[in-house]
Amino acid sequence: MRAAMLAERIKAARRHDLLLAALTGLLTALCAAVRPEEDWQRAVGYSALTVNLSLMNAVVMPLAMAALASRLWDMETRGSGCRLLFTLQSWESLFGAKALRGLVQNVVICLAEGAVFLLAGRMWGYTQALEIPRVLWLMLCTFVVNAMRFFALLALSVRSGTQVLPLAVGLACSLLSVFTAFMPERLTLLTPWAYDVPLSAMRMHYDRETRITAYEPLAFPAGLLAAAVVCGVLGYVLARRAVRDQEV
Amino acid sequence: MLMRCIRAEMRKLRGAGIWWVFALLPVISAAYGTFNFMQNREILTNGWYSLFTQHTLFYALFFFSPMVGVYAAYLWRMEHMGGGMNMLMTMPVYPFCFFAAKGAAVLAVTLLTQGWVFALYMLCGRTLCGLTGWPPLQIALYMLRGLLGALPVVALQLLLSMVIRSFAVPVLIALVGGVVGMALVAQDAGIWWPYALVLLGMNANRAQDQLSGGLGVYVLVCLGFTALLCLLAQALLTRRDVRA
Repeated sequence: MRAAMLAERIKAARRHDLLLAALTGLLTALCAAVRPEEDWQRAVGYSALTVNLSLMNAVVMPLAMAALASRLWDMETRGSGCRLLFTLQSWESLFGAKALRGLVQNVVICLAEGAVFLLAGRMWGYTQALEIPRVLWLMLCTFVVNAMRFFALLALSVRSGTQVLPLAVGLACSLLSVFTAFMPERLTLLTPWAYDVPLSAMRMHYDRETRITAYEPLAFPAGLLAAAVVCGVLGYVLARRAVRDQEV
Repeated sequence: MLMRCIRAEMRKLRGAGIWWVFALLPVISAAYGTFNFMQNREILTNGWYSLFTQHTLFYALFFFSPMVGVYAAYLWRMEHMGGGMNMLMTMPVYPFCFFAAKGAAVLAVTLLTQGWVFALYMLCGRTLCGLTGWPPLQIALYMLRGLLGALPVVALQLLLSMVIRSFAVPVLIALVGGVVGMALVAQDAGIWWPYALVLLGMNANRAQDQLSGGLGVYVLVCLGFTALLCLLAQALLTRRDVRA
């Protein structure tokens, strides 16, 4: 396994994957962060950031995960590299190294987003108290949903042998996530790739007449997170089988 | 020579997988826009204008640039595989012709995409939303302005796909660029960001025309960005050498 990881590191040389992951997480979270102009906005700063970030993740991350997954399988796609590789190393070690590398990139994205949570309040003077368990919950949920997307799209990359399809699917999922984010909650549950919004444990209420936005903290939806984990495991199995089925 | 290059690029597009992207994404955007319009009819009272903002808001905000990114990356893909770039550099063609030809091909597909978006908008408006008559002429102008705003995006994505060998990274940059563009438009600084120009041109996020009185600056910025990016591409291609 160590040799497989080393091989992946060599393949990733000069690709700056981790930097790319960090920048994606950082820019997404920064764009979601509210720069308050009035006192009431400072008083709900972290709640607003939670809602905005979960929505931004639902939009950006399907495509981001498609990009990371297809990029990880890029070298094998070019010139039918799989055939050569499988004569030199086991498919299990190749898949294991890819999966681990993908998950590390995912962790970097989550950490970058968590860092923005800590920084935004200080930079823009949020007066709301920061609830660390909520930040950790959001990071955990982002990690699980991203892992689900990553494995499903990795499976697609391997099966299709082209990078256009996973990226097109990632793009379509991003667009559908916007669609489902504003749908009734039951409908949202049918689209696992957009679970970021229902998992955020924070609901926004906007009164059109008074134009007042209020945020309601909810209990952590552990059942939904469990469903996301199951989907992630399913994605993992699909990706593993896809690599196994590559014939020499 | 340029025409031959354009024909070659068009040939690459035949039977390519990107047509699915071209066909599917505007349909999702139109479905979402129509649904949202129907659900909020008491607030969205501007008829064809309101439907237009609902149809094009997320399309222009997040998805137009990555879509162009996919088109551009697809056309550079072949050159990045198996020594294609060396072959390209040794052909008896001025290197910038390749860039211009790819630009023309991506622009042609972009034009078709805009046409498809407009056709879906008309179809949904007349059949599903019960809007009568024809959309105002100004909507067609917004679409044309969007096409003008697409020029720098096409040039930038082609340049990124030329420099970055990966297929996926330029597409991801386009999406992140769109997200940053959204933040800049909210601060009235979108005109200086190539990825925000389509949103401004199509006036997709506001009822009032954002460019009223500033159309000249918008045209200049679009053409300026495009020219700058083309010059950069030319400089890079001219200095590039064959790698044996």
